Amino acid sequence: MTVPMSKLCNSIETLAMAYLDDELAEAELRDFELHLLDCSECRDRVDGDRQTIDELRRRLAPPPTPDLLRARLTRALDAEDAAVARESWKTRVTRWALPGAASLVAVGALALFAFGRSAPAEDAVAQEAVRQHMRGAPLEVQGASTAAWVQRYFRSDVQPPHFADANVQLAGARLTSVDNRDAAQFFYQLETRGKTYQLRALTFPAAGVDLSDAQAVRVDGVDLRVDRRAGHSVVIFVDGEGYAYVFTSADLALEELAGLVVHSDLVLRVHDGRVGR
Amino acid sequence: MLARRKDHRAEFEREALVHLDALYGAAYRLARNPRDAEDLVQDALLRAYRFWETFEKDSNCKAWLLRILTNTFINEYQRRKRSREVLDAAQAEQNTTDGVLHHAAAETQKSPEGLLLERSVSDDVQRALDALPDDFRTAVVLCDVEGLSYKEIADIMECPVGTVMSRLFRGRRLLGAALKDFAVAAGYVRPEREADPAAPSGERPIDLASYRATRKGSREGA
Repeated sequence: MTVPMSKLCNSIETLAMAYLDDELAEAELRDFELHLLDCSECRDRVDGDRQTIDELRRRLAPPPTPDLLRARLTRALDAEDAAVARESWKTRVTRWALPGAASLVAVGALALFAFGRSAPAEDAVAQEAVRQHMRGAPLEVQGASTAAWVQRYFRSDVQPPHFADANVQLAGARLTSVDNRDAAQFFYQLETRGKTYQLRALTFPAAGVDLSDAQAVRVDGVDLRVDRRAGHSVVIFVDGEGYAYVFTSADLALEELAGLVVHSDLVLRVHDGRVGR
Repeated sequence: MLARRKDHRAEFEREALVHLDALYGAAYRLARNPRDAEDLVQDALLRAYRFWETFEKDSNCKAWLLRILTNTFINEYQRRKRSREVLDAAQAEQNTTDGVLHHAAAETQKSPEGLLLERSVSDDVQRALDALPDDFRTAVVLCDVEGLSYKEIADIMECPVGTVMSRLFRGRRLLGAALKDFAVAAGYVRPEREADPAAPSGERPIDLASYRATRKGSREGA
């Protein structure tokens, strides 16, 4: 016996479950089965748990899928295809409002199917933005002084994006870098559906940075690039002054995040014609 | 554009619609009744269809679809259910003041149509499942209905494997206890004295990682 008996007995609840779910690694499985040969208490425990789980699985087995559901889905997909063929992107905006998005500002249309997609590159900007999002680095400035701080330490002509959705609040910012150039990362919190979601925006001068890895889409007449990386939605917007804003969120669906971005003041700044593109 | 759309549809049907049985199975056990389950499947699949281009083709399609389905369920259907519960509670309170004392009695006050739409009341396992917190119930459905691994469930629920294990462990235990209660109430099983399954009772946590740590330690020490 390679592992003292008490250790296995001590972890019997965990081990029995992992064993019955076929989740033990090979060496663990061997140790555990050897242990079961010698320990009747653990053996009884495993037998009891097996009965419970078998019974549960038997009773949880769902009925077969109704044939009518297949027909209904075919019809729904037909309707979707017909709608896409019939309508322009702009008129489709409200149709794209999806479950869960109701509390957000009007959600933009993402006509993603119209574009090809290449294999994701590891060094893409979207990948880097998600990496920085997940890293969870601390804020260097918080609250109301964020804008002034960023203008002082990053670029005097950069403003934190402001969202039309009042549920999105700027929490703070930090300085970082992307592709060997200075960047600022803004932290936002979105309160909706009784929960708090995290949203980040990474900002840097876009000139010379290859963004083509993310798909080009047009939402509500606004040109964006979108991507999905490691479970995060990524939406990229380049403003009239040549700054890229890479928005990332693990919680929001792509269309929800894009909906927020096209209703931010970034877009208005460009559309007001303050600066041409 | 039209030809492209056709390819798009064919590809979606080939890659995604083959998982319909899995989606329906999960929806059937997550949703409140078969009608909601069908709505949930349709909403999730349409959503998947709209975002089909964003799906990375070499990754796990079934897991991707189940993630959309569980997210749709938690975001939308549970919200709807909660608003219904508020109404039900108001009705139950009204019944109480009318002299009807408990919820079980209020249950029988539903219209025959309402009862038909609800799942058969003899479906004990579904009643027990409906009573579980969303996270426990999703973990149990993904494991015991869908047969997914802890890792796949962790990816779908966006939580660590250890969290999946503890949700699954507690979910199953509550279900097991509830089923025993129903059997007792129906007279199939004689009641026995047992600790409250939801109470922590000073037990050891469900934690494979810490077992692995001690296992490694004991090996190095040996």
